[in-house]
Amino acid sequence: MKGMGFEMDNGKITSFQVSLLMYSVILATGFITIPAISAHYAMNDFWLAPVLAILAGGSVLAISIKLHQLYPNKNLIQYSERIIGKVPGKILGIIYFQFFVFTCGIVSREYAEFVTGNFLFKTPMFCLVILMVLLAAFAVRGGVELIVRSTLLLTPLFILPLFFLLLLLPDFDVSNILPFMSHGFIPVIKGSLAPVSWYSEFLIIAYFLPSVIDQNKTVKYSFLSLLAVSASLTYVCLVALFVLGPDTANKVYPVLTAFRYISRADFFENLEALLLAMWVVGNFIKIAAVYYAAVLSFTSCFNLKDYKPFVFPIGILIVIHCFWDIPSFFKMAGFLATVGSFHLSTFMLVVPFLLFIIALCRKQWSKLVS
Amino acid sequence: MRRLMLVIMISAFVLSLTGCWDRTELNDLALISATAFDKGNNNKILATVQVIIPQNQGSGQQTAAIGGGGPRAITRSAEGSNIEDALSKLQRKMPRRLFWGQCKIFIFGEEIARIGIREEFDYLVRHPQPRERAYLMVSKGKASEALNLIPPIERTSSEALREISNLRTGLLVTMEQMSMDLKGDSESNALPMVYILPPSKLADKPVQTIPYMKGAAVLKKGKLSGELTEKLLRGALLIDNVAADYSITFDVGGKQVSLHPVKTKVRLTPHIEGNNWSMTIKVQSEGSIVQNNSRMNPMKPEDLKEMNLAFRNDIHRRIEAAVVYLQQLKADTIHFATVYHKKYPKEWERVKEQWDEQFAKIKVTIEVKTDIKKPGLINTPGGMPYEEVQ
Repeated sequence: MKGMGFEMDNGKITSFQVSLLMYSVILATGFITIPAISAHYAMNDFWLAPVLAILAGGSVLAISIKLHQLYPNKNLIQYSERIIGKVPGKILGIIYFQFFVFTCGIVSREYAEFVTGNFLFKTPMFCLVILMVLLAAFAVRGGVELIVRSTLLLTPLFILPLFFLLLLLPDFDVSNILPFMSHGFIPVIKGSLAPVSWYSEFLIIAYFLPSVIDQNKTVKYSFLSLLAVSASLTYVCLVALFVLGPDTANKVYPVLTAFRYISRADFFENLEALLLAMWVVGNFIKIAAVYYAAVLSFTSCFNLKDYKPFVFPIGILIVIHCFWDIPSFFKMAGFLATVGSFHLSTFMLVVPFLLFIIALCRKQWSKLVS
Repeated sequence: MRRLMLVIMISAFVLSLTGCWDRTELNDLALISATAFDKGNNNKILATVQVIIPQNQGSGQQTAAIGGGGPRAITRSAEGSNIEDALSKLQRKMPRRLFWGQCKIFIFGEEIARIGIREEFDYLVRHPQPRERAYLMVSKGKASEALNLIPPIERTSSEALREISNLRTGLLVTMEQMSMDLKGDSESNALPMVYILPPSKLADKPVQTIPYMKGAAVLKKGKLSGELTEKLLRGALLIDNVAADYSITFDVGGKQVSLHPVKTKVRLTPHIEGNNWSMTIKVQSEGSIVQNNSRMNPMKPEDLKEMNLAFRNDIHRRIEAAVVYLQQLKADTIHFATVYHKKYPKEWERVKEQWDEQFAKIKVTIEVKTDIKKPGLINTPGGMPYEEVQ
């Protein structure tokens, strides 16, 4: 490969492309899982959860962008070594590598559970996971440009099916939104924990920022992406609430049920295939992005010049995590609804926040000294 | 050499792309068009499916030309301890795999509805194949009998039921609506009641008729606990305001006047004062005259006023009768619970457990405004000389 310089991946991408990528990264699993989890806690106020979670998403974005400005052209692992020292930095790097491999495994499992549980009943889950991870591995090997370009191509496919939900308009019961916050604010906060953990995945942007050429537009586009994520998720939650009402929390996949419920003019029926298409496309992007973060965490941690030889071995790790960590759908759903929220937000919100505070202190300190 | 291997490999992959390997063809499937559940022996459940026979589906003329053709659907039943058990036994009697994607009607027999359908309902919403848009009904007598009919016009008896439902002249409940009602605040709901139309004298066989819907079954917590007659159902439908296309006939001085189509707006306003719960039902109806048996001339303001008054009283009576009946049954199928829950969440929490009792105690006020909008094509009553009309 050309330019075996300091950077491991010398692809060049734009801010707009990254923000589009982040949209799919957050929502690929978010659309399917968040409404059910939030509705479980917040009852009919769950549509507020994605709005409330903007705060978390915004702070993650602000932290990752600010850290990148403090340490230009370095990714999360590289600057954490500079912030907290060499050995703790390396340890944190290994932890992050493990965390991303695990997250990627969970995402692959979510994808496979959805497909085998609702569409391809007889297909072994193993095939779905292997094929998807293999595809993602090719994308990651192709580098950041390839990931981003496939996002550019696939995102419309990911967004378009959402508009088909409007075919349910005659079935909407807008009054389902009442009674507004009848149990106070606490259930809404509990319900927003899931979107908070999903929004905190915006941290993955920290691995893509070093490749961005138009840094001055990053803030604008990434926050636009956050707003788009929040708006889309609120929209989907509202549709689920209007159509399913008190039944939302009981559905494993409320959006799937909403899609299945579409029936217009005896013609627009059985549209859940669209949802499947959307799900596959979105999850390909998501898995590729998390995979990329895992690979980069590993190589930056050990200062490796070329990341390509490590893509396939790490893929095997991901597949192993996908099967060994999660014995059943129940364990996965339980994990996502409870521990998962804290697990994700610890690594993607709390740790970066601490890093940021230390970095600021260091800067002030060096100013004082000089 | 390497390139050649690559070409061979790619061509081999292309072959597998056709997906022939795990294809499912139409003639491997038994397309279920309707399913009926009845009470079997020893507390078992009897599941009956109506399966479309694709060979006999050709267009009407073709079948006639061939000479009548066979029946277009068959039914088959099996018993089991619950739905899945019964259906898996049923599968063993079918040479083709049961396919649920087209099953748009589920009928529960009267007997099983009396025992309760909540447990069986779980299957319908949990299993990934039955559609949430399917219509639910309760049949008078055995549900399987409704599926055994051979309708003279429609392809299958389930198609007849589906088309009647789609006219939206009466009650229509989808599986998802029922699911919401059972999960919702009142836990009571109404399902259309299926009867079998007596066959015409010209029919060759007694099964040559269709099932149709009349009145409604009232389910409390999934248990059949009462029945709304067609007249009471009209009142209940007015409150829920779901019927789209219906006519109303009322008495004016002993003679009937009919309006069609009738458009209605309904507003439910709950009040709570201390322990007194009351509900105001505000109804605003309008319609056009299509038949006038009375001697009144709607063009005359005073006559029109009288007609409006009679129209108003009629709607008032219909709604009142339905409310009184449902309050006697203590079955809130008209979603008062939801209305109270939305406006008075705290008070609602207190009575939630004894909602049925509370529902019976609600004082209902009905305020009706009516407006007869159009006279139709003629003004004074037709079919009689001017002198007879006052």
